[in-house]
Amino acid sequence: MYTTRSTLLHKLQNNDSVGYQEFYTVYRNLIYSTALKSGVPAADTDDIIQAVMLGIFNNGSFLYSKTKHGLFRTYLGGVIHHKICDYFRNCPPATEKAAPEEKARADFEEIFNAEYRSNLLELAIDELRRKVQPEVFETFELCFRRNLSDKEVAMLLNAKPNTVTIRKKRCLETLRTIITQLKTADPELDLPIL
Amino acid sequence: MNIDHLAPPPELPAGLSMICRIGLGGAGDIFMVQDITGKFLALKSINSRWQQKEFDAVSILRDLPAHPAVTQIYQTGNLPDGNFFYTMELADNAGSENSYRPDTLAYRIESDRMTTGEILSIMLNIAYGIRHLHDHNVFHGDIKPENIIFINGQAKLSDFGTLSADGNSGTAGFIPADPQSGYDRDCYALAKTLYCAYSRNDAAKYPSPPETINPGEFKIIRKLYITGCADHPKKRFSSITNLINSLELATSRFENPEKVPYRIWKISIPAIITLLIAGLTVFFFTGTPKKRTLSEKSLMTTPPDSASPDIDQRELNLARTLFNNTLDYNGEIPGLHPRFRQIFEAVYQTMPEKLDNDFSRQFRSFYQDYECFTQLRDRLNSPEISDREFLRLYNSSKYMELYCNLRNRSFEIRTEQNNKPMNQIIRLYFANRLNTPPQDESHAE
Repeated sequence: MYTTRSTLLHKLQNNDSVGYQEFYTVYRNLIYSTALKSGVPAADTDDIIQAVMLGIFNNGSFLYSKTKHGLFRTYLGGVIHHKICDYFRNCPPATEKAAPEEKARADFEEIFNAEYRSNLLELAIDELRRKVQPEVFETFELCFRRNLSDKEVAMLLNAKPNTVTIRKKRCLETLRTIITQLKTADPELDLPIL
Repeated sequence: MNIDHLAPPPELPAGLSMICRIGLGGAGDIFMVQDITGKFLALKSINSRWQQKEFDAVSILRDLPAHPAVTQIYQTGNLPDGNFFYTMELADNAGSENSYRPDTLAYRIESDRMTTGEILSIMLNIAYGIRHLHDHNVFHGDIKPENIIFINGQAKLSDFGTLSADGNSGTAGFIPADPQSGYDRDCYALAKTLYCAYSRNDAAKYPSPPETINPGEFKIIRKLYITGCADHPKKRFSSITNLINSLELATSRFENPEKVPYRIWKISIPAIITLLIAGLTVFFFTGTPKKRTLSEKSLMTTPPDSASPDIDQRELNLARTLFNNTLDYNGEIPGLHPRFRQIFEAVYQTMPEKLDNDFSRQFRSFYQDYECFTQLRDRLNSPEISDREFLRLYNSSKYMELYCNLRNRSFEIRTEQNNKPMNQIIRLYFANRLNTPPQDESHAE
């Protein structure tokens, strides 16, 4: 459900411009960080993003189809990999000796899967943001992402420490449900268990 | 970004000369132009598709009185290519001397150069501008950081393409899930703008807190945006006046952090009582104190008024600013004819039996309170009043509370009564042609 964001892909196959924009927002960071970690200089990452977007939206239409290309993650990874290879073919790195193709491919897959996983977790957190009350999500952010204690969070949010504990529990339960769905959709991705 | 290569700039009417293109929008392009007096202006040329919508919006705006927090429109017309255009005040330059970049709230958020105090002051200013629109039953419809510009350092509302009397527009992230009205949309959008400005986050990241948190400031600002962007419409600010009241309260709390919060009082009161009891116990066990000498007594007497500490200049400035903002308040009920009060009084004097009792009581009580308020305001506004006396009277009379209460009530009367008794009064008035005629009867409502 979240892995390929089927609604988004459906919108794209209908040449929906909102879908295109949404696709760009959702996957831009993934393409950017994968390119950066594969050795593309930061100044050229925008070129890679543009090339990937053009590769996926050839002549304005969305090319992916599940029956033809399989899992969307594999398809997207393949497109990014090809565009990065094209980039290095045109501007080879001056200092390092190029690695054998098989090893380069394995390295890329490792980088891409790690980035895909972290991008997916960010999307899961966005899903959590939509599902719970703002005060509950604030508690989650402050406790788990800022590492503040329950007392500190209670003081900041003008709430009782008990309320903070309950909100944390609720967030974890919701996030666990989301991640379970993700794992069912793509078991190979090896998402962490909460 | 150089955008001059995109399309040739249009030919301009006589009296205006083209400087450069400064922006691209969905509805049209924006250019910097210079008029014959040498003043630099922004010119917006509207694409044919959006012409009618923009024309209607600009017509509505030009019917309203000017307001310092609303960007002024100078000239309207058609360009030689047939496109509708209008010129307006030009935003300050936030870029370098050679390249113009409009100074917008979005730019200031991006460049991270605002303190929390400045953010509150900007929001308050913009809220006054929105109230000006709402008082005339007009809604901006697209409030967001990009549409707040700075002219001579002062924040102003701009981009009136979505200005309308229904308020059915907006940008994703700045529209509530279940908008109740144009009022509701604008209030929600302003609260979301406050969130973006304070947290430096995108609207989609709401309610993630800012990267660095100052607990005191966070508590004050968070309360505003959490209320303003609440999921349930009844939990949100019901009117821009309510939002302004909260912003003013937040500003005064922010300016006077020395005020002890309620929670600290809650903790300290038992401690003070314990200390007092202990003190009294010691007093009774150690006997009565020695008689004091005359010189000691004179030291202990209350100092005369002249010796009291000087007034707090910051508090005075804040009080003066808030007070000045109340000077234009004339007790009008939003959406009604300014002379509605005379009509009501005329009907009430001649045929009170025909009016709904609750309604009449509510109205008369509102006007009596308004009279008390104006008397107090006149006293505070008197040129003879000293700063010390002003501050004393301002604080002791709870002037701002009175003012906010009146404004809230005027909105409540309007909402609760749902126009019916008001229409009844106007019908009675016109049916009987009572003594105090309004000057412009065609606008009785």
